[in-house]
Amino acid sequence: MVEPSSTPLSNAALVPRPVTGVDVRRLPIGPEDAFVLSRVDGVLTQRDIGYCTGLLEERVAVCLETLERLGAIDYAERPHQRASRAPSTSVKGPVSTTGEIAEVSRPIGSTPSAGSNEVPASIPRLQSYDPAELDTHCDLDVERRKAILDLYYQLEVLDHYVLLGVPRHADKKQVKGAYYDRVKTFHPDRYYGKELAHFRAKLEKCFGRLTDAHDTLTSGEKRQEYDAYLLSQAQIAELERAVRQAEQPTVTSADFDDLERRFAESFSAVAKSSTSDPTMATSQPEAAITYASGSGPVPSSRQLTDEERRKALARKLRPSQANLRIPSQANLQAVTPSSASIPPREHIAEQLKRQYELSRKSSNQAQLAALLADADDAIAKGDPVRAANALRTAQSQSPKDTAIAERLAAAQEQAAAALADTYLKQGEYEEKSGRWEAAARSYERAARGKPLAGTWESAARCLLETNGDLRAAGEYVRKAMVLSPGRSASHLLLGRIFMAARMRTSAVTELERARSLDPNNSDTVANLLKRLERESL
Amino acid sequence: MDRVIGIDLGTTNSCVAIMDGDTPVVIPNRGGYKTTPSIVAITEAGKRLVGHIAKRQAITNAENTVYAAKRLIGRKWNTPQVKNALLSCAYGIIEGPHQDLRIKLRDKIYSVPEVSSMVLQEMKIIAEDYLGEPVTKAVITVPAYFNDNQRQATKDAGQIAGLDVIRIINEPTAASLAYGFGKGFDKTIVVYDLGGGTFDVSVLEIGSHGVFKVIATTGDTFLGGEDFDLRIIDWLVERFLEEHGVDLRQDRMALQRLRDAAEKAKCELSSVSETEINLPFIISTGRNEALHLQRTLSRSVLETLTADLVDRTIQITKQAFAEARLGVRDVDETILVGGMTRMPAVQRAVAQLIGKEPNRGVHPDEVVALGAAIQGAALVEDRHNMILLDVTPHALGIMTVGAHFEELIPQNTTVPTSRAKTFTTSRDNQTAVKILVMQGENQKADDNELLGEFVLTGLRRALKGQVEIEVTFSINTDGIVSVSAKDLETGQAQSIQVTASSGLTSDEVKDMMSNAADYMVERRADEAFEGIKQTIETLVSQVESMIPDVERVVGGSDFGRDALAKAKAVVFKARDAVVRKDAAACTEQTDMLDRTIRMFKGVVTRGN
Repeated sequence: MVEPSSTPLSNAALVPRPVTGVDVRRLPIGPEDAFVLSRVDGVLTQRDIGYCTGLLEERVAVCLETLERLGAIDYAERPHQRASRAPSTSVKGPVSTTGEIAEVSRPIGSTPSAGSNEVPASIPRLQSYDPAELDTHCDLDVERRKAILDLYYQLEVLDHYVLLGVPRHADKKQVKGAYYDRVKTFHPDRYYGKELAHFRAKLEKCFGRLTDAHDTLTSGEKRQEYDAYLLSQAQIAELERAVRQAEQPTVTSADFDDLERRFAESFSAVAKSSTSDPTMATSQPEAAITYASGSGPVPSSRQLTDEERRKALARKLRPSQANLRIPSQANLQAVTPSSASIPPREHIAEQLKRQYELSRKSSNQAQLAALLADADDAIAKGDPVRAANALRTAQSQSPKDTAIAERLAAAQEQAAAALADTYLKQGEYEEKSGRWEAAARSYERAARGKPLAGTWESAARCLLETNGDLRAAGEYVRKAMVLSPGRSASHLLLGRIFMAARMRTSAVTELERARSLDPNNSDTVANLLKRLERESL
Repeated sequence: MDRVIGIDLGTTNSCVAIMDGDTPVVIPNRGGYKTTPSIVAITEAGKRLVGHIAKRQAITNAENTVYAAKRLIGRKWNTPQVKNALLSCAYGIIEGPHQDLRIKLRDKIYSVPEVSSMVLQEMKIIAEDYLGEPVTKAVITVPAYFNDNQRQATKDAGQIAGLDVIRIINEPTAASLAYGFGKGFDKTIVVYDLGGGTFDVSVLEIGSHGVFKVIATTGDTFLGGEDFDLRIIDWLVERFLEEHGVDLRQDRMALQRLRDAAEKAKCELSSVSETEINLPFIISTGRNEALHLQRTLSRSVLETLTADLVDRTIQITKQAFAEARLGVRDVDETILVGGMTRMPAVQRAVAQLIGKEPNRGVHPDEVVALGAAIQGAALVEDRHNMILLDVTPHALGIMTVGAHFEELIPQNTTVPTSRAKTFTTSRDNQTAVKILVMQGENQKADDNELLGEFVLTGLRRALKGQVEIEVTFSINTDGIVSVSAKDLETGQAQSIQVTASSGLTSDEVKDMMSNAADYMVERRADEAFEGIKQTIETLVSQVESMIPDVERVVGGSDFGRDALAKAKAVVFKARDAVVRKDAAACTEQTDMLDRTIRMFKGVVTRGN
């Protein structure tokens, strides 16, 4: 199964730097990317940028990726292995329904090169190899052995596209070309008569999987299904996060107000004793206004005044971040004593405070309106994730607005339902491909999100298929029965489960019940009963 | 380095080829023919005949001449195809153990692979004679639609003949290989292979990248030239029955003559529009009266008689297109393989289906062997950048409750492939589990081919349902099925036995192998002996022609009388040695004869 976005989070502590000489206006980027770019200064980490901008960290990571690719930024140190990040580019913002998912960023020779008998370049390399395996005596050279191990150990993790080394939009011809290229390395005939030791079995498995990938991607129908499957996996990840984050405590505006009040109080205490500095005072309001609207770079060239420092602090404490970096009391204390020498200017302080709060309110309202509009749009487009995010931010702006709270709850419910739907689709695809255990798990998750008798039964059926946990299967069927009693299918399924568990009497009871509920099933029941008879002899 | 030969083991004719540098070449037999009839006979003296020489005496020795053994190989006794063959074959087909077939020739009983191995051995000898070195490795072709039993039996035949069969490949695939190898184009092609006994259609993609991939394949293993011949025979026999009230089929010799005539007529009608079938004294009525058969067969009548056969091939071809999910327009070329594709009706039908003329650039009789030779070289040598991706022609599955067929590996899956399924025990302390493995396309298990009952033994003693065995069904590159099992908990491999074996057991194969080896030694001695025999006969006739002269010169003297007596004795001994086939004695006598001749020459010269 594909694991999207696990890697970007580990890049959180990296520091992006702007590249000099790049004309930002010429880059093909959107407002979000530009916003992130404006925060890139070689000091803030990815996570910090997330806090500054109010964007989700994953979004920031994706924007940074785009910017890096375009050459607008670079890193002091390389990010972690990006290999399995390829599928995660599909997590970019709201999942696009046009299917236009970003190309795999690693260089791919989609047309095989002349010396194409060489080791294929685009399978991501493993971090390390087990020497016992690598050094087995056989007739392969080291590069070849590594290539086989690379593919073999990532068979489950890589999706079909990466496996074959083709971009998502590759046409049939490209897929075939890539497959034939790979086949030259991974078909056992290539090594006829050679001593292969344990590599032979690995080769055959790799070949089988490559053939599966080729067959899926060259059949129009199967490819559509598979793409939908990958999409749903990405969606699930996002939805889960949306649903999960709802349960985490967020820092609300109330907390923020409280802190503000305390700062203001301590400020007034300080301002009373400080001498007024007209130049400083006049420059404050602009700074205050710009800070309040939440844009503008962190001033790094001139020294921070108290007000500016406080504003910077206040900005850093914006809500919608799970982790709150509240400066310790020691820091707060540090602020006040040093400014004790400045005589307080009460009226200026009050004026500043009012202006600050006014501008904050107006910008807040503008922002609120924008967020609500965004949420509406998202709901209209059927994207509960985006709606939930927008509404959550809106709620933190004005926590007392019950309308917003209601809408947020509704959006989260929708997200949970969409999650369940996506799990259901995933389960269906997995069942069709014969991956029973994975299908059972997906169905179970779907059923927990959206309890339906049919879904529970599907989960039970998959467990039965694979001779899995029959007790759990039984439980699922009972859940189904609770939801919709009197379904012949449920009793039939339960009967089969009992048969598999060799509980004969219970099986017979359930089968009979199934038959009585729906006479159409009597043939099936009769066959099963006969089989039961035969097996118990 | 061992060179690998490619053998096309055909129903009617076989062909052998080898790679000469970068090109495959067909190896002609001693008579200069590029193909050899797949016919085996045992003479009254017990001597084995194979090939052209066997065909020539087929009429007079009909009961002990086997042809079209390929139609029987790998089949079971009570199948409709075998029953069909019983009606039309002059040689004896009987039931063997495990429902197998056996062939009775003179007083000995042979299995079908054994008979085929005689043909393979002949091809091996042809290659060895040409190359001047021993040959041990071969690639043998089979119809694409052959099932597992038939492939296994063919491989057994190769083994019995003393060949290491490194690969079994499908005939259409081999043909496509010969067509596209080294040419560097990318095409989607259809191979229409109508041979002596079988029909195959394969859809392939061939490319400059060196990968030959089969997309779909289907066919009929009991549809071929022989059936066309049978139609003609039926037509002749029925009219004869009406006219004379005699069923010619009852007489083996008549039947054989009819067969020959029918085949000849069929071939002729590919180039002329009318031919005469003339069989005088075809049968005697017992009243010392002989009956004659004389009839004119026109091409149009032949086409009417065989229209349904041609139509069936077209239906199967359409099926192949459907399986490959391609339309007629997606196909770049159609290649015709097999002697029957020379028939105008067949060519017309194919052209009509695909909407354009089929490609005639390949030799229909030789292309398969050439392809086999290419594949052999590609496997053994490292330099050829070519990979063959073939498919399995039949679905593989197991029989489940209610005689249903549960598919594990679908039809047209690329091989090698494997699928696993988990089984468990149904009783406490159960130590063995039985699985019935079948191959075929039918929903009902009974209509499919049973490959064997695989029994897993040595399971751990545990409560029912606790022991989980993962059984892996694999199809290898030969298209042959193998089953392995593993106890999921311990990871221990379980043993699998094939009970109710179809075909020959390995012991049986070993026995037959040693018999064949004896024949090889025998045969080799035979050939060497022929040489000596020739020499002696020449020398003897030379001596005998000189005797009158010698008598004239020295007949009166003692020396003369002695010399002549000795010469006569040597001639007598030489002749005797020849009859006894005593090679050592022959060599001795050759020396004696030489000396006699020298002496005689001396006498005559001095005397004159």
